[in-house]
Amino acid sequence: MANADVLDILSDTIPTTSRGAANKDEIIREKKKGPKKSIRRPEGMKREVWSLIAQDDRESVPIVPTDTKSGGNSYARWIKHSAMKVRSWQWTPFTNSARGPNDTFVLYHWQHKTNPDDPPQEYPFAKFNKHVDVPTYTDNEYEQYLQDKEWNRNETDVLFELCRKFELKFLIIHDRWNNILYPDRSVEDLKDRYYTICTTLEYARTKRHTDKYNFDAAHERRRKEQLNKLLSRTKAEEEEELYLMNELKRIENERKERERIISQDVQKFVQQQDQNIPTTNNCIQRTVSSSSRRSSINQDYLQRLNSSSNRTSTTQRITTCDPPVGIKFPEFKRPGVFLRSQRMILPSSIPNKKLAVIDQVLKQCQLERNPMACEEIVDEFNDLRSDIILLFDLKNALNSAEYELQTSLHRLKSENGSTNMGMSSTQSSGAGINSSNEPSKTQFDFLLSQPSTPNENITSPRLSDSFEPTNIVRTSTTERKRRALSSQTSTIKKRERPS
Amino acid sequence: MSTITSESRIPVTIVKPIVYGNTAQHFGSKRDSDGHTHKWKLYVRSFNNDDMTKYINRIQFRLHETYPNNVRVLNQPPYEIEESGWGEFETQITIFFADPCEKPVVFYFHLKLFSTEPDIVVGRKPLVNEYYDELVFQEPSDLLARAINSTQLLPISTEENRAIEQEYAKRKIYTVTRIKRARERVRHEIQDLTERLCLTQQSIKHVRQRSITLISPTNDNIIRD
Repeated sequence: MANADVLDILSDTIPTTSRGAANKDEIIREKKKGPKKSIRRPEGMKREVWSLIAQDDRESVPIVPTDTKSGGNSYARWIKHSAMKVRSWQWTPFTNSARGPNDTFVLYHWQHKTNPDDPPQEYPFAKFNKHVDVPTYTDNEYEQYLQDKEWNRNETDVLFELCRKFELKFLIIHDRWNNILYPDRSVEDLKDRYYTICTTLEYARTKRHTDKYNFDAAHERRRKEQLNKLLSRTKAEEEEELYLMNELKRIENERKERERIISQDVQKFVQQQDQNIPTTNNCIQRTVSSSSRRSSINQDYLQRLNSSSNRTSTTQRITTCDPPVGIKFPEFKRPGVFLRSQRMILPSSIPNKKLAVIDQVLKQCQLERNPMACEEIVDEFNDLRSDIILLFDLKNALNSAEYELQTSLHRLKSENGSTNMGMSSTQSSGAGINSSNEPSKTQFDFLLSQPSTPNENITSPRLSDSFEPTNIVRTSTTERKRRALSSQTSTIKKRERPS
Repeated sequence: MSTITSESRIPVTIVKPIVYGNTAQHFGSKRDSDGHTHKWKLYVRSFNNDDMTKYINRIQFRLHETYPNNVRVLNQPPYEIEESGWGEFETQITIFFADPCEKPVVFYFHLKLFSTEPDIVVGRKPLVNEYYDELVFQEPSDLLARAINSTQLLPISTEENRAIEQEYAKRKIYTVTRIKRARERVRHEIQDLTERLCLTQQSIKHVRQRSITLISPTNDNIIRD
């Protein structure tokens, strides 16, 4: 009775299914069914883990994305496999076919158990046993094609045997070369013989040239010698090389500077020249007549120059360009009063050296520094000083140009000397070239020997001769530097000097 | 600055030659009181004996600081400073013009006392250090132009003046010819050097081309190897 009352009270809360189920089995079955969930716990995942991740009210479950490397479901595969049994391994003997057919050496290793009816597998690493194909020649072939005055048949056979044995590893072959029985051969000699034989055989057999066996023994020897020398440089030599490289760089930079300055100056002076047109013509005639005393070759230079300058003068007259004045004197354009002598004041921008030069020239011409200041005098005087500065710049430019020419000629000479030896083989083809070399060479020799001395009876003491050389050019070149400049050939040639 | 329309500027250039300089006379001995050895006179005057007061207002001479009242202003000719001293120095001379709007002309003059000539050293002859110059009035104002043109020659010692003028004229011709000659010489040399420079440049180019052609065949050999 009391039970029924309790049950009635508890009836609301008690699940109806369990009301009647007092059966032990049913209870067990219920338990077994487990609580119904929208997502099932994946197989293999532990119950506790699943309960950590899963949430009752949610459809999806935040699971870390699976690893898709192994084509999708490696986890599933692992699961599948983990349910499977382990494959069995077997301690099997094997032979290596690469060791040769008569080999009986047996080794053992673990292998998956295979069906006994399957054919025995080849040792998988045997396929890496590659061999070099060393050609073989018959006696006929040897007698026909492969004779050599430095190699006899015996030696050649031995060489080829070694090649076969050591798979063309020439260092080993060279080491094994019997230099008591046979003459001493270097690696290059052996290689040379081998490759020449291969090419000859190839050509003989297929009548076609191949590039397969290109080997230049001489080049190889030189290369190895150079590398040896490179390796065995002393510290002092290395420093010297570095020093020379830096010097070369520096000299090249200076040369470029000079060139730039020279080309600028030439432009400037050619323009300046064109401004003084009436006097120019007289000067040209005078210099042409004086140059007739020089060699005829120079004359066409001058004529070419004159023609070119005439051409440029016409073009420049058309195009309005400002003549570069030596000095810019203060000018008075504004209305006002000023003193004439103020126009004669030298601008402060002129460096001291140029001032000294001006004074020097004025003294030579017996002029005073500040003449009386009439209009005419002032104009002429200013122009004169301008011209003096121009002359000074010109002299400097000429000096650096001549220096440049000297170095170029020296370089040319040294190259000429070195390449003339190499050109001896091509003499026949270069006959035409050689004949034209000669007049130009004498031309350059002439230029070399007579760098800057024109005839003396133009103006007895030249004003510009008293100018001190104030170039950036260094006139003190040591012998080594000169060689560094002129010998821009390969390093091998340079190396031969100290050795 | 150029658009001064308040005063009309006459588009001419008027030149007034002047002479300035100093004379110096050695005493013969050194004066004990202040160590002065020379008596000198610094002056500015017109070359043609013009009446400079018409266009010059005043002239200011700035002497060395050791002189008392070293800034001396003279309002009428003769524009001379007479002093004594023992050393040379640079003086600053400023000329102010009749037109107050016109900027004054300032220039420097080195007072010369010493010379190497024996007569002057002893004191028998005075040293004369004189310079000819010209005041150039460029586009003077109306006022100034009229002032300048109204000057008349002073009738004082024109004989002496003419001699000086002649001397200067001779000197001018002499200087001009000399300068012209020097210019010719310099220009010849410029011409000459220019030619040589062009020549050298061409030679350099030529040599470079040849060396390039010489290098390239040997270069090929090395590269191929």
